[in-house]
Amino acid sequence: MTRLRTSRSLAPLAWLALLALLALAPAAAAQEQELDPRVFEIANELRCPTCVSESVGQSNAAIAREMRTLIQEQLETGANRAEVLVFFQERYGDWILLDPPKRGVNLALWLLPVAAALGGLTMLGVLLRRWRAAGAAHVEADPADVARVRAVLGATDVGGPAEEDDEPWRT
Amino acid sequence: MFDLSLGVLGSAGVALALAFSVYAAIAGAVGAQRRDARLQTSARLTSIGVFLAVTTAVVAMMAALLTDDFSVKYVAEHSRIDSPLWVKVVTLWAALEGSVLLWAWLLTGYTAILSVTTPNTALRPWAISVMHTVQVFFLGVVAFAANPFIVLAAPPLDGPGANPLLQNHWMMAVHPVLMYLGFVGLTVPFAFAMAALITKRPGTEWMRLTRRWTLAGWGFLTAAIISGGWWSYEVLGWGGFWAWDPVENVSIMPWLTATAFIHSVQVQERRRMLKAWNLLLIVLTFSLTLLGTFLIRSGVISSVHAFGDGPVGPYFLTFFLIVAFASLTLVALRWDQVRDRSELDAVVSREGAFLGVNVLFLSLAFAVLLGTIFPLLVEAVTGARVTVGAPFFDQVSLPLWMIVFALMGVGPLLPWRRAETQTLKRNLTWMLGAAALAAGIALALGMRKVYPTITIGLAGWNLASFALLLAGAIVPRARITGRSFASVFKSYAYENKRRFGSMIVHLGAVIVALGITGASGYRVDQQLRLEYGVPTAFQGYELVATEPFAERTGGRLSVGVLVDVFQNGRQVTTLSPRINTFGNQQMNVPTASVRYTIGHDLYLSLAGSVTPDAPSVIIRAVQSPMVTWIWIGGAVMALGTIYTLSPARERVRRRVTSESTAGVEA
Repeated sequence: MTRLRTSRSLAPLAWLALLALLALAPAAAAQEQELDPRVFEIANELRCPTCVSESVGQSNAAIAREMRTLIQEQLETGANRAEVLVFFQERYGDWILLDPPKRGVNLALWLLPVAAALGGLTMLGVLLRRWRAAGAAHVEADPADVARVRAVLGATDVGGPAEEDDEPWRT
Repeated sequence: MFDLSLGVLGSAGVALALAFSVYAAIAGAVGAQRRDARLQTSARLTSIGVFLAVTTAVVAMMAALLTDDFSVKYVAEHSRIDSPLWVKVVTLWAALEGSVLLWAWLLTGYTAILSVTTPNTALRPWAISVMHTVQVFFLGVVAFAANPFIVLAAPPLDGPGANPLLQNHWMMAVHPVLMYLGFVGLTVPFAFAMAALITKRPGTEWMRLTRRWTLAGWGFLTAAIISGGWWSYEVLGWGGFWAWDPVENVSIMPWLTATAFIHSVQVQERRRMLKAWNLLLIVLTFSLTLLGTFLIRSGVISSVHAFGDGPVGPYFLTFFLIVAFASLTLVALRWDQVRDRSELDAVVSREGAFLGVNVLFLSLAFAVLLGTIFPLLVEAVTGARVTVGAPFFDQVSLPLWMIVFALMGVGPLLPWRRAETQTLKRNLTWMLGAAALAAGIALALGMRKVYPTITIGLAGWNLASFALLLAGAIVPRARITGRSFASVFKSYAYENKRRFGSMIVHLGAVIVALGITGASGYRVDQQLRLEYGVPTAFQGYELVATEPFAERTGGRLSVGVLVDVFQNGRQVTTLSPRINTFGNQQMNVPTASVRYTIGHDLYLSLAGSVTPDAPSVIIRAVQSPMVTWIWIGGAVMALGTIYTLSPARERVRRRVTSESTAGVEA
């Protein structure tokens, strides 16, 4: 606080600078108003047309502010989320939606990751079967031996994990 | 008189380092091929020379920045006389040329340390040769494509200063350095993997030699990503921490593959499986750091965070293609050596869980890569413009993340080779109970969203898993030895650094997941008009704008408003959202003011102008539940990594005494 007060002497200069900046951005200044939380929820699904990879909800660009105001106005006239999104989609095309519609070329975008995950799992499944076949020849422990080891360990087993991998635990 | 300017000194340092590095790459390889110890030693010692030469260049750049030597092009373009000292220091990596220089410098530092500390094995000369080859690329870029040391014939009197977004937060001093330490750290296992392929020794030697480097690189990358999130949160003014922006995406892709790698190598260490797979994973990780740098530095994909556009894109693309082609060719040539004769006892086992998590992380990385380059591909093929934004990435990645977190609870409890059905059932019963309890509490508290509820359930699941892990390790020993739980726990944690450290990291991941859940699932984002002196309600708070202010500090002009924050009639804090401008740059940066609490953050940012005579001000107010947990969880993950890496105590070889065998019947 003290720092703020001591800096007061600089204030006129600062105001001048700020006013000069604002004069450069009249569009932004015109868009100052209250916005509902729902506005940002919708704005986060729209791309800011002039920005690089920012949503309307994030950006401070003049057009993003204008679009937020538009969303607010639409909501005030009773439009719902879907209707607002359609409003912008009609004007800018699918490109404005951050959630690419699942049709046309975008289908590849949605289906490829699923295909990759399923393909990976299938490949893993095939390999696992092969490896298990290779590992099937192992000797099974005699249940009597297992029971004896358990008895020796005091049957305190609470389902613990395998022991430390590289630094064997010693009791 | 010949004037040795800082620019000339820097250029000379880089040129010398480049020449040395070319020599060391060749000498290392030839020395290894001919088994010529002298050449090998010469290559190793040259690493130190390279490091010193690049250090000279970095010192020259730092001196130029600190003394405002505008005859150096980089300083003229990115620094400014009245910037504070710390800004001048971090300007070293605030733009493209400087950040490539930093990257190269860290790389030479790592290579020098490796050259000195790596034990003398057949892998060493090749690994050092590969490190030098990578280094030649980076030094070449610094020398030819993005030389920051170009001397200006007519130096300006002052420069524009660093990008305002970067000057606006001290995190800029930390986040990029961590990122490069991570990238460079992951170069080390790559170099040893190449050496393993060249020398036909694709066993576990290369990964054991580089285990610490890999973990450290992964830890740095993790810390870099989380700290980058915090930087976004504090600086970008919309109260978020992750936007699936291209720069964020290319940083998380190598993290995902590196995470798969550090899990997957354990299968090879333990079961001698997955040789080829692990080699491919580290090649992929290293290649993705190059591809990512290409994508965001070339301008083919633009991003809010891409602070250094420049001419290096084609070089990174070329190097990426060379690395990918050479490594894959090498793997193909060595296929006979890397082929596994794998065998698996059971799918439900530790190795089974690791294999599953591999598929998941790779799928995540693929989805992120596809989403990032999809607009580019479509535009190249059809000319159409498409947008792929956060909603896509959320929808695709969230289901996968849920499975990752489910496996994270199960995997560590599963023994190698084969899980015993009875134990597994009992463990899963406990964990399911905890998950149901946690999700039930969330539902009872009114949570209805699907993913947040599942995440809370999975947090319960994982906490139960930690409890079972610790109980399984400690209770039996305490019973047998008769020592107290606390003392057994202490020695367990101390003697099992790797395992206990991994538990800490996993716990950190759970905390981060909860933070992300709260902050992205339940944030409230609103724009309010605050009349001076009139309380305005927001999410249980009363906000009172008291007065506008203006201040000038170290080349920065701030104009903002003081807002008193009341809760239940009591003033809890005063926030001061502001707009900063730097020097004579046109860009004004709205800078948020945040009240941090463990439950939620109150985040205020100016959404309109502040004028002395206006009766009100427009504020963007964000309430973000649990966002602090992300930073805490990130710190826990970093601490866990440090714990894992901390030197293990010399293991005391205990003799079998009558005491320790008491109770064991013959």
